Amino acid sequence: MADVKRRDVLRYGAAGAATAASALVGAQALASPEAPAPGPTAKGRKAGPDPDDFNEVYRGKRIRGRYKMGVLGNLDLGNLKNLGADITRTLGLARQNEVFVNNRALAMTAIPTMFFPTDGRKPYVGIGLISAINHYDPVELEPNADCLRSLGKKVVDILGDLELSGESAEEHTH
Amino acid sequence: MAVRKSIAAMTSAEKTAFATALRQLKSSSPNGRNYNWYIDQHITFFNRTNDNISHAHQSPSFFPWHREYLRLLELDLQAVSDDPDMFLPYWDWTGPASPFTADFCGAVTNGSVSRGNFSPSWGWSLYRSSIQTNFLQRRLGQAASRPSVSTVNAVQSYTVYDQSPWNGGVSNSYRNRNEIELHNRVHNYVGGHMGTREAPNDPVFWLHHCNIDRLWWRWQQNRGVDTYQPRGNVGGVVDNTETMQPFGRTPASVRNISDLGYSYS
Ligand SMILES: [Cu+2]
Repeated sequence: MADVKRRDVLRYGAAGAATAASALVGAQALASPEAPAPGPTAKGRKAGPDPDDFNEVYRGKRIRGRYKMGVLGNLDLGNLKNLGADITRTLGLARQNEVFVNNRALAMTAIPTMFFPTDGRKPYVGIGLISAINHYDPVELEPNADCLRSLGKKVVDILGDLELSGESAEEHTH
Repeated sequence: MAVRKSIAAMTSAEKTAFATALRQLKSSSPNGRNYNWYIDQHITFFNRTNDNISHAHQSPSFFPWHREYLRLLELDLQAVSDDPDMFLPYWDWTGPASPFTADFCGAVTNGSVSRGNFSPSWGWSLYRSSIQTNFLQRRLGQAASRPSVSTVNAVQSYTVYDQSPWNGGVSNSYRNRNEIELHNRVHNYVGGHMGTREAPNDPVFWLHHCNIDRLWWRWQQNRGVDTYQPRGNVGGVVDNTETMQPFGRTPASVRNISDLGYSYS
C-alpha cells in the first residue's frame, strides 16, 4: 500500500511539472534574509540507514527528523525562479523528508504556495511543507533540516498535551 | 429555500436546532450520507485524484467545490431536522459575534471541548482524527489572528478570478488570495482540529466556509456571476464545464446561488 502511494507520488510529481515550473518562474521569490546556507547535513546522502539530522526534546516531546533532499538540498530553495525544472524533483523529494514526534511519524507533502510574513517582509512564493496537522499553515522548505525542526515544533505547539494518531502517518498528495 | 443568516442574527432556538441537526446527522443518513461522509470527502479531495486534478484546494475549483459541499450538508440538515428552512449560518470573523458560546459551538477555545453541544458527553465523536483524542480541540488565536476588515476588502478588490499556474503560488488571483489570506488564516486562527486535514470535525468549519462562500458571492455580485476561470482546456484543474468529484457537478452549474436554493441575508 505504501509502495503504491509512493509510486503515485512520483507519477503525480512528473505530471505536475509544467504547472509547478511555470508557477515558480514568474514568482517574485525572496529568500528569507536569515536563511542559512546549505549545511553539511544536506550533502552526500547515500542509501542505508540515515542518522537523524536533529533529535531533541521540545516542550516535553521528542522531535527528530531526517532531511532527504539529497543534492537538491544544495539548490537555492529561497530563490525558486532559479530552480527551473528541478522544481518537480524538489516537490517529490520533499515528501520523503521524515519528522517524528514522540516516535510517531508525520507524513508531509510539499506545495508551491504564497507566504505572507508578519514581520514586514513582502509576500513571496516558496515551497511549503504541510502535514495532516498543519494543513493550512505551511512551513517553508529550506536547504537544510532546520525547516523540519520548525515543522516538528509547530506540530508540538498544536498537539499540546496530546500525541499524533496513526492518521498523521498516512501519506497523501497535493 | 434557505436564507443563510449571520450567527449574530440567530436566535437561541435556531442555534440549538442547528447543533441538534448536526448531531443527528452523525448517526443517520437521510440522503444516503452521514456527517462522517463529509469528513471523508474533505480528506479524499484534498488529495489530487488519479487524473492529477486538485478539486477542493489550491486550485480554481476551491470556491465551487465548497459551495456544492455546503449545499449538500444544508439539504441533509433540512432532511434530518424535517425543517425545509434550516440554513447554514455564516460567521463573519471580522465582527464581534462569536460562535464559541455554551449554547452554540461550545465555549472552550483552548484545548479539549469537554462540554456542550460538540463534546463526547453530548454524543459528538471525532472521526479520522490525526490528533489522538476523543475531544474536539481548539487553540483560538495561538497560531494566527483573525483577518481584519481592511484585509478582507483588499482581498475582495482583486479583479482576476484565477490564472496560471492555478495553484497556491499565483499572486494576482482572487481565489488564491481568499484561500490563503482569509480561508487558511481562519482555519489557523481557530486552531486544533480546524487546522487539520480532518477540519470538518469541528462544526465551526461550516460557519467559516459559509462566510467564505458569502464573500465569493459578494465578489460575484461585483465582478459577474459567470466569471469562473479557467473556461476550458487547462490540464490539472477543473475547467468551468468539467465535473468536480465527488459531486458530478461543474463549476458553471453552481455559479448562481439562487439556482441552488439559498440566499444570504
Ligand atoms: Cu476550509
